[in-house]
Amino acid sequence: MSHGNVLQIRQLTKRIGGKTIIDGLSFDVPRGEVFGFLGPNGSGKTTTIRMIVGLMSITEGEILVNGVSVTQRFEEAMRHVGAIVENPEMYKFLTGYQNLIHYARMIPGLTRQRIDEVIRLVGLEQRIHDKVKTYSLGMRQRLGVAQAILHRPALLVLDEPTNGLDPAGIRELRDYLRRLAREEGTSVFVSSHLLSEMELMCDRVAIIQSGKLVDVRSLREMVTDVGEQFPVTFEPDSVSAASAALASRFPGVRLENGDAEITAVLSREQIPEAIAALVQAGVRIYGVRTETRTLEDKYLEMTGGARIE
Amino acid sequence: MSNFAALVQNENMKIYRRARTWIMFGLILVANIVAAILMHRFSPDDYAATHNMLDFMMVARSMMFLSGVFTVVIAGDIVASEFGWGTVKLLLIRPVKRWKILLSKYVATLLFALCLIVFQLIVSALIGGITFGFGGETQVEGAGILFREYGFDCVDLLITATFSFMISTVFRSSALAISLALVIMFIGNSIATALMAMKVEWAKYLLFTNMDLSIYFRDSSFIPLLPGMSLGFSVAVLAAYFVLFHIISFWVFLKRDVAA
Repeated sequence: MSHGNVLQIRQLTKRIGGKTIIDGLSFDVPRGEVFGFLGPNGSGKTTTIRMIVGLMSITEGEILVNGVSVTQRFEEAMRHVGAIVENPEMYKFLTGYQNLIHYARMIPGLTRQRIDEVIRLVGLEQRIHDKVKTYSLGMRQRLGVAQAILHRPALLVLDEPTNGLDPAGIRELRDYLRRLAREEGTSVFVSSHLLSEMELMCDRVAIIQSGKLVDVRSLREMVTDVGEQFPVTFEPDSVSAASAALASRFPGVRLENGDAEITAVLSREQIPEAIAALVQAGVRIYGVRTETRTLEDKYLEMTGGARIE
Repeated sequence: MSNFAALVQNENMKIYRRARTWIMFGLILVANIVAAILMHRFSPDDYAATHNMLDFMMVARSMMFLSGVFTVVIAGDIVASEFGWGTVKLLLIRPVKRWKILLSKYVATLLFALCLIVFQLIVSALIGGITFGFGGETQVEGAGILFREYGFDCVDLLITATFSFMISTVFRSSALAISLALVIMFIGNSIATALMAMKVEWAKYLLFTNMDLSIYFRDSSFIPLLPGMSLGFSVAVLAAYFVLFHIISFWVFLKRDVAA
């Protein structure tokens, strides 16, 4: 595919009974990127995902997968999409293998060898011929991943994939998704309300609040914003001398004096200047500490807490 | 894009890999055996001598109600259960258009009904043959009549299954689909007879007044037909309902936002 973007969302809008659930969303997901879709519960994450995979109709706008419209050429677009929407619900009275055969039959040209390969990939060889009702949640999740990647999709869509998984399962899934993105160039679109999860696995994150896009950023720039100010704590020999030096170098700076420490709210570029000023004033510095904000702080600031409006 | 036969194969797998399906076949077998035993025990001594396989099959036709019930159960469950299990979310995100998936489910339902009917015919022929003899004296005037009667039952079964399938698709509830369809099966006929006896004229447009096509081939003296009713009329009414049920099923299934 010559397209740089595997997923393109343009002015996506969903209205149900006069209520706007999703309001003019637009963003792109390039090839091989793990893209996080973050928002509080009820913000429209699941609705957006359901529109991407064709479970819900689109009121306005369009969704393109590899440049193909999901609404106009559904079969062609879905050929490149694999998904787990919420928990992977399987046919419990069938074996894991029969479940995979079931989905494989719905995709033209999928071979038995590929099914076996996927089973090995998710590590279910031992139990694949057992009925799904005997599976643990972690095993069902693996089977869920298996059905989603059977046809080597260009785009893998996961809705809250870590729900109900234990920490080992979460870690395994995370490593697996990163590997898929890196080695096979699969784009992964993953929704979550768990920020810590997103920090660990995503390249970029879109934040959605009440059906509107708040921001799309790469994780690095999100955590350390250029030009943004954050608290910097110095450990000087004399707090009063340091306070005077900083106040004269940065008039109007917010300072907080502690017993043995002083905290100034500065931008990244101001930190070396502050150190130089302190040294010139003869203040001895034993330590400098920046309080980088976590994604969580950023997220809470952007969404104004996790309110559901 | 996708091979339609593979979709039907999938639906078949989901029907026949469940234990309840085989219980259904088992019950039909048991019901036929019980019928044969009862007939031998409680009929006059010369009954067995003057009757054969065909007579038993004629009596065993009443066991078709079992096939009807089981078909309604499968038809009422085949769409609704996907919603109930949540598997519909994984089913509808494949590169297959929705109408193909729904049609494959309908075809699988009809194939299941056909299996039951063929099974009923074979079982009743074997049991009838073993207990009353495969040849010899019979009161049935030719196998043609037998197949005609079974044929009428098939029409009934087709319409009821289609109705159950529609309710299943629209309300996503197996329980509702199965019970409503069973109500139509069991009391629809009584209501129809009552309405016809009372000469309620609009009743001729109802579904169940037209369900039993055999009335046009029997002594018409005991069920008075409403004015304007004929075989052609009933077939047309049934066809209209049949098409209507499908329009509703497909329209709803294609338009539905899957939020469950």
